[in-house]
Amino acid sequence: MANGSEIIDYKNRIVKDILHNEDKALSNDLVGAVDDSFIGAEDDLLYRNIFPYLRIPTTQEETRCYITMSVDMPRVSTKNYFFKDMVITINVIVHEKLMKMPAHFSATRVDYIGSLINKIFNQNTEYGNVPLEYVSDTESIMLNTFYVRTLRFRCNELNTVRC
Amino acid sequence: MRNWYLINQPSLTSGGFENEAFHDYRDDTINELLSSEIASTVILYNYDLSIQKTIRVIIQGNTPDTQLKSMERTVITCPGLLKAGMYVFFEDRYWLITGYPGNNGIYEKATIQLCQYMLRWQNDIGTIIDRWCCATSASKYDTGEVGGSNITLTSDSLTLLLPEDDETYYLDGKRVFIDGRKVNPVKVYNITRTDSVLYDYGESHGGILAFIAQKTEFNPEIDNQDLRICDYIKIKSSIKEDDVLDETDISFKIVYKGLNTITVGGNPKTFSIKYSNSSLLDLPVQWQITALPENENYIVYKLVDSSIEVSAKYNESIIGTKILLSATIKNHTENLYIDLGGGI
Repeated sequence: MANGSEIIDYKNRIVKDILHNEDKALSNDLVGAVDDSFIGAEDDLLYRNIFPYLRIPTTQEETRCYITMSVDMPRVSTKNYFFKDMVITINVIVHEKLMKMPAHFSATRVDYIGSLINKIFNQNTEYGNVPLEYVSDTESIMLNTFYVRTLRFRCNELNTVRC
Repeated sequence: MRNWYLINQPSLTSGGFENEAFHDYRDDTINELLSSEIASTVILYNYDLSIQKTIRVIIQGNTPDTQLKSMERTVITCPGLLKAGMYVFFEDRYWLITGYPGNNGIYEKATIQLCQYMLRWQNDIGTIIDRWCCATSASKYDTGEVGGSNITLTSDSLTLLLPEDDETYYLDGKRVFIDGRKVNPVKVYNITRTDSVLYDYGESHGGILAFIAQKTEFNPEIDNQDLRICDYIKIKSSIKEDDVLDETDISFKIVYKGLNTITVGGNPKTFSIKYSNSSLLDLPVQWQITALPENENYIVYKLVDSSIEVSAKYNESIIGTKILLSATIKNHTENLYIDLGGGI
């Protein structure tokens, strides 16, 4: 894998794993929790509810759920310069009016979507040299209107071009 | 001799004092003015437009010098007619009486403000309420956007003036459409502050309420654009059209507080009967609960007069299932599915 293109590859893979996971039921559950009117038209969620970057563009006027992401390479491994750390950050952002789910879910929407994201990426072997490590999962509030769950996963990636 | 006088000849008094002359002429003075061309015919409405009266008034302020003043007028009419919170309909627009009606013994005068928007909401029992309101900006220099590093939302604040009545008292906390679009409105506001004391002029002079409406987000799931009502609750009739009813036309439904959900391991919920015909009150009600065989042992009920209290003992496996509650009165049965919920 060429240097520097991992971030693009990772983001493409993340979007694919969210919208078109091999476990179709998992994708359907996640798409349904974000906006159930898009089950069967998952691709339309991209750039409407799911963004391959951190900031949601344009002024939002509706109550919606969002998933934003970032892929970072904070440092090269200090033990072995052939490897570098890759950190995937996924934010699940839910409007307060959408937090309550039907009774049988027994979870808030932000926690439920977060748990599905965790199922998809935790110990996922498709990224880097080692399975994705579940690093942190924290909740916060944004603009007094949205609840945010931030999940972080980490893996190793080769630092040099393979011969 | 032609009668040159506009004012009717008052009854002669022997006093000749100014005070007596004032009493003699005052009623006719205003009446003569109101019957002249300088007065206008308007319709005076109560708070919900259900009662109206055509009256003659003199409207002042018709040639204002600023835009703000162009949305205000004063009306002059006979004493005792005007109260704050009433509407005056003229020039094809509704105007709300917002000021304390004053009276100098000859005529009554009140300030009125133009109503730009018909506000619509549902009260707690689902009745749709309409009121004309006068809106002014409470954030004149707002850019219309507010945001952080991750998202930008719309922003706006309006001050709304409405008549003081039993329905508008409970507008606080509700979400309403305030959008000039004739179809598919999307601008939703949250009523965040009520001033119920500032403009309370007492029972004899009426009163108005002032609200602050704060811009919030449109929820396509629960905001009904066709009816222009936010957080719309559809009042369902439990009677199906093709039901064959008993000859006494039995019409009733199962009612309860809140949602049709029982929390597993929680407090009992009471289900009662609401009749359309009060003569049915004495008829006995037969209740029946149908649950999955493996869940039956966890459902507990108790009959209280004609109502039933239902609860569910705690067991994780029954969370998310349903039970069917049936009420039968004289061969007519109504059904209600109840969710067994749990957790948050």
